[in-house]
Amino acid sequence: MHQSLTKGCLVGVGTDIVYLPRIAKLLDKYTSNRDRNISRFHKITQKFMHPIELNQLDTLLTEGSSSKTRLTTFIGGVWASKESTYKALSCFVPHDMIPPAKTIYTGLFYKMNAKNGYPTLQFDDKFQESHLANQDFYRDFVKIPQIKPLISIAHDHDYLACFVSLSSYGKAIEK
Amino acid sequence: MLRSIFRTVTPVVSTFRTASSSLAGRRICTRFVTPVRLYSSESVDKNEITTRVIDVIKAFDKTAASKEVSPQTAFHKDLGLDSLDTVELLVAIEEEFDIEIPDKVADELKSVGETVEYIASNPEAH
Repeated sequence: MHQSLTKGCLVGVGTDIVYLPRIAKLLDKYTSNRDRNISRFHKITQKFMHPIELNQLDTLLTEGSSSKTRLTTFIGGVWASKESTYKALSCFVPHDMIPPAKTIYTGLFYKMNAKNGYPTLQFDDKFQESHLANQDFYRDFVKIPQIKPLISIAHDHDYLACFVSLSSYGKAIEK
Repeated sequence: MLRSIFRTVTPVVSTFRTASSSLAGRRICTRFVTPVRLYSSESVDKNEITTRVIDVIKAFDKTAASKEVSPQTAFHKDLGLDSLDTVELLVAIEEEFDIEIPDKVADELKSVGETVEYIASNPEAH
């Protein structure tokens, strides 16, 4: 069944490219058996992953079958999606109204795979209640304009590229 | 420094001992018990903070070990660190000083000097 196409207005676009061996190096450095290293690895991932993504990462780490490539691609893809989306938001959100990077990365949205395996981005509808200091930002630049994200990721050997677009389906945004 | 604190405390403690020896079954005479406000030790010296931050940077990135790192050193411009490197570096600094850097502050820390200034102003830094 075809989904009807709804007309939206493109308001922001962002991109990022990740050199995957540096993610592999991060994994090697911090996921050895030493407790302190694993603790620091978790602290690093908690700086940019939404709780849903952290759960996905935990599942991959505890599954013995997860290859290092799979883990590297997952972490690299999440990181690239965060950077891309932040840049897309910066296209239309005034600098003084955009929340701190960590707030956006860990609270505003998360990356998931659709049933067909394609990546998707989901805004966390609990953001407004869990981040009271950023209520105005969410109301004015996500909820009222009904911002919808689209994401595309490609990876080839050592590189992963991510593109994010944000479109408004609601009330016009006025800067 | 601890000696200076104890010098202040001693007279109160001796008063307290005198008071406590007669406490059994008796009401405490609060006239002789003076509350003392104790202050934590001085915040970490800025020079020490600078040395420790630079040590963390040099340990973090092998290429930085050979570069001259000073308070003026910028993470991106001088050390070539990208945003993921900076996340990793700030986590290492948080662990070194046993602090948590607020999200908004983390976005603004672009150099060694700015990081040192923040830590120096944080009373919880060790």
